[in-house]
Amino acid sequence: MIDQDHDLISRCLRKEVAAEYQLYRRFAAKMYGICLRYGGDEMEAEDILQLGFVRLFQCLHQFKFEGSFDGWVHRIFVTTAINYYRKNLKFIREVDLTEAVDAEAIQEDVLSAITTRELLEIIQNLPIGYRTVFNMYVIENYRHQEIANLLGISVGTSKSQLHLAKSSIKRILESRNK
Amino acid sequence: MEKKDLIEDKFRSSFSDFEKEPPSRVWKNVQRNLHQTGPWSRVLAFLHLSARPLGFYLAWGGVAAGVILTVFLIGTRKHGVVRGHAYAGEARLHNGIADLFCVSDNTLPWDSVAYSRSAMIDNYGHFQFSNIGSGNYLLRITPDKTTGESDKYLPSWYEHDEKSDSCKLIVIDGKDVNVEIQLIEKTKH
Repeated sequence: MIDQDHDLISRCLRKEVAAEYQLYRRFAAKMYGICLRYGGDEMEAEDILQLGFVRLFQCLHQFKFEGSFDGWVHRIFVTTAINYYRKNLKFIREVDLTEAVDAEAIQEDVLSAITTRELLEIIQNLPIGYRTVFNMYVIENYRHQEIANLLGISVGTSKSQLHLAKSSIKRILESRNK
Repeated sequence: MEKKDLIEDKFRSSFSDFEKEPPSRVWKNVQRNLHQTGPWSRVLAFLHLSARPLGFYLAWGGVAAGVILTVFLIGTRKHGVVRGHAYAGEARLHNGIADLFCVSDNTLPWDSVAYSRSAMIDNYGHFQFSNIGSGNYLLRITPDKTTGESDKYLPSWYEHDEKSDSCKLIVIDGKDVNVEIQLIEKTKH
């Protein structure tokens, strides 16, 4: 696999369109899935996907074959999504959680009936701060310290945004279930 | 033991292998951006890099052009200078304050009087307001309390009136206006 990656990347660096298309085909669907989670709608997700691929091809020479190529590509798209919303993300603040809803107290049957498409719709409708932190923590498995560093926020803000995101999701799920 | 979070588990399992085929235009736009040459193709590539149609940018361009035009029109609106002298009897007023008020309607009594700005009156009774936009204005002169003229004269409106609801309007229409104001004596009042 590493040899195949090496060959494909080398051909892309020589600007071979066929190789570029091969690389695009390999990651397009998976990365679009990521972009749909970070974007507010399909239009924004498409913007992030296109910017991400341009960035990927332009930074390809920086890949040192020292880790997983798939992981490296994944990080490029997450970073592109964060940068796409960076000017909005700087306004998110730590909030007092004393009145927040307990997000963990949700019935299992409420969750079991819901489809991935509906979950995606819920994520896309979350405020930008909730959505980004929720994606990074829950699905990308970033720690709060890493999220804080990448977004330029405090660890407390990251935690409160995650809690508020889960509270919002719980409210939406329960209202749909009624 | 770590508490199980149902919401996290549900989202994690639903999106761990989530994929969706993007529209075919994405590849075309990426290609266009990667292999563009020359300045015009760079501009077009930028436009194609966005999923939004060209009309979106044209609409924003129209809004921006409208804002610029409005700012330009406001900037070039006719302005004038109001200058003049205030008199306390036969002599010029020694120091005081000139207050300018804007009037939006043309009906007495003025219902729409709004303070505009103030100017100092110098030792020779002279005052000046620069860069005044077109419109109708009222002018009030108040003598300085330290000169003793405030003991003899009332604050007075142009022209020769102690009340704002019956005094004369100063009309500014891009031209400079000279006004001479006579303060009203307290004894006459």
